[in-house]
Amino acid sequence: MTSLAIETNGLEKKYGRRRGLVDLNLQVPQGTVFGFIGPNGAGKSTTIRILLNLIQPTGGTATVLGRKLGDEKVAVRRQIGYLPGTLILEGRQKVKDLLAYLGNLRGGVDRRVMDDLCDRLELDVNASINKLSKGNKQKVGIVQAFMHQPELLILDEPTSGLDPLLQHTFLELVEEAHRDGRTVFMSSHVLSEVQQTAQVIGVIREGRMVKVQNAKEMHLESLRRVDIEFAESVPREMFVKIPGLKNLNVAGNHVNCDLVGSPDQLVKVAARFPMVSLLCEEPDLEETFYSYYEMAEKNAS
Amino acid sequence: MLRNPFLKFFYDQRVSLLVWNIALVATSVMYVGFYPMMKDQQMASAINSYPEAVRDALGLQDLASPAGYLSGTVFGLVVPTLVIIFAVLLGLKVNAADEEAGTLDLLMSYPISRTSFYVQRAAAVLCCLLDACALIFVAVLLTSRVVDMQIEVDRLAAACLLLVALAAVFAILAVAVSGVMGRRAVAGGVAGAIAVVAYLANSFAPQIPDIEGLRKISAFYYYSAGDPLSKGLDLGHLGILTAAVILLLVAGSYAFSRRDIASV
Repeated sequence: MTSLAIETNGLEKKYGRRRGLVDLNLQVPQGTVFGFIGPNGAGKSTTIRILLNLIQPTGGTATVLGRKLGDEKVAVRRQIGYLPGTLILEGRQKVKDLLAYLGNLRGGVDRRVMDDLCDRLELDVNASINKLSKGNKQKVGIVQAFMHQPELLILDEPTSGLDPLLQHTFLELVEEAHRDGRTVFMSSHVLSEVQQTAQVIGVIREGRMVKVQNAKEMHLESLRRVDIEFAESVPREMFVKIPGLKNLNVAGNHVNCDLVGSPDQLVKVAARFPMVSLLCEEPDLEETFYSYYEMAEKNAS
Repeated sequence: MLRNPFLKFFYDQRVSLLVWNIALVATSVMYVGFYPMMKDQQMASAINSYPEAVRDALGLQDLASPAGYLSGTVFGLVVPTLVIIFAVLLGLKVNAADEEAGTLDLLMSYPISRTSFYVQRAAAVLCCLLDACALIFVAVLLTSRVVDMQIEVDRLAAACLLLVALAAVFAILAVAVSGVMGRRAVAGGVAGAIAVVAYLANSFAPQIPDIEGLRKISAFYYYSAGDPLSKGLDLGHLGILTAAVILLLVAGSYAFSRRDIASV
């Protein structure tokens, strides 16, 4: 029975009349990569801030790395690497100076690990912090979270601001941490990246956990909006039969719809007609959840 | 320089420290430099024509003697005001600036206790004040020799020590308020307002019989009432100011360690 890196019981955080967290129950086994997802405002950051003692809960209990909230705070934080959701770095100092300071606050870190991280993320350590782009500041955040090779990584929206290539490098870092037996607790509202690395996915909505499942079992079919423009009018009957389409709209030489699941059938049908343009986009997580719940309810009934 | 929050504070404020130290030294030197001119009858009699109450309030009673002159000018209103502004601005940088910038989140997730962080930075602020007042001491001493102004070293040191203590009260007040309130503008406003009220309580309130007693709760009273430039150091007064600093430090540190840190 593996021990739990993070456990919460009935965790609650009230903000006056605003609902923050309501009866949050979470178990993150040691050594897993846990994807903590939910729409904006669901309580992801609030949960994380409570786990890090930045804010106090108004009810419930929690343990982090085996210690109750508030016990051995400094010792626990020594073993955690945290990347805040909104990382804002200021100051007329160089990246390497800031990293040196942060390393010293940790009692020293292995220089080679730090340098290696900066290389892989293509971070210029001689640049001045206040001249960095958002993406580069995010890189600094990632380096300081990983550089001491902590037992537990708590990452709040870690890939925001990173270009796709660096998102890929970041996900490699998560993989490596996992292979080392360390725990990664990662929050995101971008479903696809969580699906690539997490073993367990927990969904939070309006302050409560609504679903926790092994990533493989959970087919959160991503919902995509598809818009195709053809060179000529296309017959509606050809598209109506395709499974997984919702809100299908065929008007003259334009077809748009919401696609759930594999695009295989839709593409094969569309390919029979000369196409001018094809647009495929991933809307926000909220809509993905709605389609997930609708399907779950349909399957249940 | 980058080893801990105490040292890092100096590193971060290096430009500000340089500028303020130069400004304070220059102001002090300038005033002392004017002393020969003040001794000249014309200037002194012009000031003597001000109403008595105004002269009392602004500390301009006896500008002819060196001690009186320094009490009325360098250690009267201008330099203490500047030092207090400097002190409050430094105090605000301890917490509120970080919180607004969102970096407090990150730092508080590190293996350092909130209390240690707070106290280290407050200590750094106090060291900055000590350094500034030490420079003022040296500047006044040297300039006074140049303009042939007789001032005793131990009396001057007493005045500077009390100046540090006075500024420290408002610095640590600013640290405490910004530790609780997180927003520089608000914290600065509160600290500034208290400083102004304290000054008025000591300078103008005594003119009004009903609220004379208000003097005793003003930090400015303990700073100047003992007339350090003429009479030397009043340990009681220094003790009260020091006690106020320690009290504010402990209370502020406790409040900071227990509060929720706002997310940006």
